[in-house]
Amino acid sequence: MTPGDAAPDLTLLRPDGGSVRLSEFCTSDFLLVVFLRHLA
Amino acid sequence: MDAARDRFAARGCFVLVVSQAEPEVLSLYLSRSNWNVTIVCDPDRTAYAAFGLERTRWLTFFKPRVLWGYACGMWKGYRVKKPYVGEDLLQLGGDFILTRGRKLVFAHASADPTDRPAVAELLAAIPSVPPIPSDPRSD
Repeated sequence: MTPGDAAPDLTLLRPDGGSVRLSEFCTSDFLLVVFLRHLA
Repeated sequence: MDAARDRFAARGCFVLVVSQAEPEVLSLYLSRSNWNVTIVCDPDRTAYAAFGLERTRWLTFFKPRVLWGYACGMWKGYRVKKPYVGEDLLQLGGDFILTRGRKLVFAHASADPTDRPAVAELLAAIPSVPPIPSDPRSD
């Protein structure tokens, strides 16, 4: 994906296992999404 | 992480971290750590794939640039640990900045395990004036 593209409204999981859509975090002007390689 | 989160918040940017761990692993991890940013998970890596984040190869870890990156990290206190259940060590990460309407204004897919943009680079990528939302029906 490159700048100018629209990100799909993906479904992610909360730590409690509940699902959440990416759009639910788009409440500020911008959203920084950091994809980790691993937690450790 | 908190200081960086506050700098992004001051620019109107919410920080969301995505992990490839299973929810129960992430929950246990968060109960034993001190993260103050929102973390969600994507154990089947659908979101990783949707954002074009690839798996690397084991040989990548032996590239001089990657070895140097790990050496610098260890000098700063980073310690290599075993991955948690469900985490794919070959999966690469990435950093993306979206508008409220989910349009990308910055995209960085890691080329190797140590390839991440600096906080300053991410902050510089945030437009100083937020875009005016467009009508989604016109797309």
